[in-house]
Amino acid sequence: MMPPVSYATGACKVFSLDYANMLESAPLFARAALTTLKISTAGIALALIIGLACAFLLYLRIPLAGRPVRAYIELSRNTPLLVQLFLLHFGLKVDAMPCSVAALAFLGGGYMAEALRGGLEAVERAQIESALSLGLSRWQTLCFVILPQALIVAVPALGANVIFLLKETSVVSVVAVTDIVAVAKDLISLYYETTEALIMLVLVYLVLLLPICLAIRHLERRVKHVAFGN
Amino acid sequence: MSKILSVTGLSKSFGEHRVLDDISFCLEERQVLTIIGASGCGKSTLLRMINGLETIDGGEIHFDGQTLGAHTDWRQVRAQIGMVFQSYELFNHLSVLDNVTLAPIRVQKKKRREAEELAAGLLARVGLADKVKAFPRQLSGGQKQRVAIARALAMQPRIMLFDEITASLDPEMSQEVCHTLLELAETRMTMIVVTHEMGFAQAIGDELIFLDEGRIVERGHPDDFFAAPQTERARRFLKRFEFHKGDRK
Repeated sequence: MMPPVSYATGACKVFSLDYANMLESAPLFARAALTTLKISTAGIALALIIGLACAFLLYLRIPLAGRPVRAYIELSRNTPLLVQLFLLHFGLKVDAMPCSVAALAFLGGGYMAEALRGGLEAVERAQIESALSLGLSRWQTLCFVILPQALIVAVPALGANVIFLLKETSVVSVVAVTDIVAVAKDLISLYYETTEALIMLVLVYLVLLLPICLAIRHLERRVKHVAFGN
Repeated sequence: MSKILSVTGLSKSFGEHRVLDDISFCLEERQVLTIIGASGCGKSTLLRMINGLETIDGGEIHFDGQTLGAHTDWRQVRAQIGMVFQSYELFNHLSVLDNVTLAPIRVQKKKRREAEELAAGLLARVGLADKVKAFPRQLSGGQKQRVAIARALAMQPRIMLFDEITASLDPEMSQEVCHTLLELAETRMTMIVVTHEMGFAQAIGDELIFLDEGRIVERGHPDDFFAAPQTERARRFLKRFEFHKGDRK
C-alpha cells in the first residue's frame, strides 16, 4: 500500500485549492457584495453632499463657518474609520447599518471637502466678476460658472476618494455587518480553508472595483476633452 | 441726446492709497468716451465702480435716473451695462455658443432657441460664425476677446465698458479687436473705452479723458487732445509713445 501523500505544502497549495467550495461560496459573497455596495453608495453620496457643503462654506468665506468646518475636516481625516465605527456603534449605540453609512460619510466628507475645495480654488476669482458683470446672481455664478469648472479639476481627486472609501468599507464587519469580509471570516471559521476564502475575497473586491475604476478613468478623459478641447 | 450716465465727485481709496479723486463726467447716449492714462492711474477702478465690482467711497454715479450704491440691485444694472475685461474671462467649460447664451437664458429667461439665434448673429458680426461649437481653449487671444464682446452684447446692454481689452494681445490680434470695436461704435453703441492704444483712442472716441494719479487732468475731443495737449502732464504722457532715431544712443 502507498502511504497517503500530502500536497498541501508550499507552492503546491495554489494548485490544490478546494475549487468546488469556492464556487459554492460565490452566492454568499454576491449577497454580501450587495451590502458592501449599499453602504458604499449611501456613504459616498452623503460624503459628497457633506464635502460640497463644507467646500462652499470655505470657498465663500462664510463668517464663523471657517473654523468649525476646518476642525471637522481634520477630525474626519485624522481618525481611523475603525475607531469612528466603534464610537458610533458601541459608544453611541447606533445600529450596525446606519452606523456604517454614517461613519463612512463622516470620514469621506472630509476628503471630499478637500478635493472640492481644491477644485474651487483652482478656478480664477476673476471668473466670478465676469459672470456677475453679465447680471448673473451669486448663486447662478456658483452653479453655472464656478462649480462646473471646479468639478473638472476635482474629478481625479474625487474618483480616488470613491475608490478609497469603497475599500474602507472592509472594516464594517467589526460592528457585525455582513459584508464580504464578514463572509470570508465566516467561511474560514467553518471550513478552515483560509486561502480559498481570502482569494475569493480578493476576487470579489476586484469585480466590484475594476468597473468603477474604469468608469472614473473614462469620466476623466471625457472631462479633459471639455476642459482642453479636442 | 440724453444723459445716460453721470459721475460726480467720485473718489476711491484702497487703504491709504487714493486711486480716484473727484472724478466727474457725463456720458450721453450713443457717445463713445475714451479714457487714457498711465498704468495704475485708476482707469480700471473707475469702470469697475460703474459696474458695482468696487464699492463707492465718495461721490455719486447716476445711471438712467437711479443713484448707484450699496442698495442698488446690481443684477439689474449689470444686465444693462456690459463689461469686457483685459483677460477675456471666458467660461472655459462652455462652448463659444454657450458662453454667449448663458446670461440671456439665465438672467433674461430667454428661450434657448431665441438666445442661440441672437448669439449666432452676434458671433457672425464679430467674425466668428465658424467657431460657434469651439471651446475657448481652441481660440486665439483675439478670437477669445471677440467672443467676450459678443457675450456682453448678447444682454443687449445700454452701455458697454471696455477695460484695456487689447492689452494682452499681439499687434495683429489687437487690430482685429479694435476693428470689431470701431464697427460697434458705428452702430452708435454707447461705450466707455479704456485703452493704451493711442491711435485707436483717437479713432474711436467722441470725447477723451486723460487720467493721471486718479484725477482728470484733461478732457476734450480726441483730435484736439492729440494735436495740442493743454497740460504739461499730458504732453509728457504722450511723449512716451514717440520714438526717434536718436533714442538709441
